Amino acid sequence: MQDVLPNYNGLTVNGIYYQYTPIKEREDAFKVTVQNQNVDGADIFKQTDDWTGKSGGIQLRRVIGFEYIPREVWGLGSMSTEGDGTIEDANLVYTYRYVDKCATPLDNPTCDGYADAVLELLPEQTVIEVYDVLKDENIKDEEADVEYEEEKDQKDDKKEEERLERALAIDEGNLDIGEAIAQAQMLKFLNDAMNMQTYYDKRIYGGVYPDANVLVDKKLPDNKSSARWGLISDLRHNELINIQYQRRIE
Amino acid sequence: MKKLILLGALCTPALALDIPITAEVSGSCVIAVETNGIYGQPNAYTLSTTPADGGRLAISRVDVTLANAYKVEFDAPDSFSSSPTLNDVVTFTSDTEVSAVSDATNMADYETDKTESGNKDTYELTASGSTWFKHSSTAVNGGSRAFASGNYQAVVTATCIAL
Repeated sequence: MQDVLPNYNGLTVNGIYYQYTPIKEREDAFKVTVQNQNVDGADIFKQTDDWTGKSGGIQLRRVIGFEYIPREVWGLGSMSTEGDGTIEDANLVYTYRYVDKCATPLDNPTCDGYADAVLELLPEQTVIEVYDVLKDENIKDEEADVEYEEEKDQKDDKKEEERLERALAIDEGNLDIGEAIAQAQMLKFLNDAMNMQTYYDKRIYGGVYPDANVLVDKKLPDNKSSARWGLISDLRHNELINIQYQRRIE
Repeated sequence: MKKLILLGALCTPALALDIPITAEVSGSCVIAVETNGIYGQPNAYTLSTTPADGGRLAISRVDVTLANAYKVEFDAPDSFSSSPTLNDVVTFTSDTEVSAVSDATNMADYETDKTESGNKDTYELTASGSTWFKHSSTAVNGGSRAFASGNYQAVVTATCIAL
């Protein structure tokens, strides 16, 4: 019987449906017994149909219900005859319910794989990528091309300070280096002052510079050609002015 | 004293109360159609539900919850309920038989105990349970003339009668 029912945990049989057709003569004694035992050999059910004195050829269909008997309880089942006659079209169907308490591991903490199933349900640590404009390669490229003067000065000062700090902070033995640098700075200032002083010390010597060319007074005649051209230009100007007035009057 | 009694009768309101008695009667004889029949056509002038003729028997089931309380009657068809216009007389041959029972001891003799009267078969339902009946029908057109093309339909009428 254990080979007939599916091997699932939690399977329980709640009914049996069977049918057969007795083949017999009416006067013949004939019995048909359908039964099923449990694993200990006791009958779970036993149904005997006495066809003695009954007509054969009529199919019997019967349904027997149970209150969900577990699969493990069921033992041998049989359909047997007694007397003169046979059965045809015999068929027996078990109806069962399958309730696997561990069909999914999450059904019960005692089921195998429960912990793994719970872990799978937990949300994964999702990493939200925040756009950092300062890390954008395109922005970096653009930024590298632009260098503001103020920033440049600050960078230079900072570099100089860092350079001095590094030079001074290495150890006491490097103090001479710092002094040398200080002296170099001092010399640079002195040199700059001396260089500037040369401009201050320049002298432009003064004196009287007499005119080299002297124009002697003389009567200058009018340029007639120029007067003529000037008069012509005036006439032409007046003519143009008058033309404008005439257009407005029209 | 007489006056007081009269006065009391006038002052006391009349009380009335309906006491219901109900009952719900459900049908304890149920007829169900399990399989519709189909006519096959073994030749031009015959329609038959016999499987050998290409047809299919109609199957009905009668369930009763009380023994010896009902009988069931089946009226076999003697004409088509719908068909093309037929100019010839159609001869019907029909039958109803028990095909299966749910109680061998008490129902096995239903078929032998049935009464037939014309097209009517009557079964005494002497046991509670289910009984399956198969219904056959054969129609032969008169003069062996071919049936006109079209749709043909016949009906078996089942009736549950309380005894």
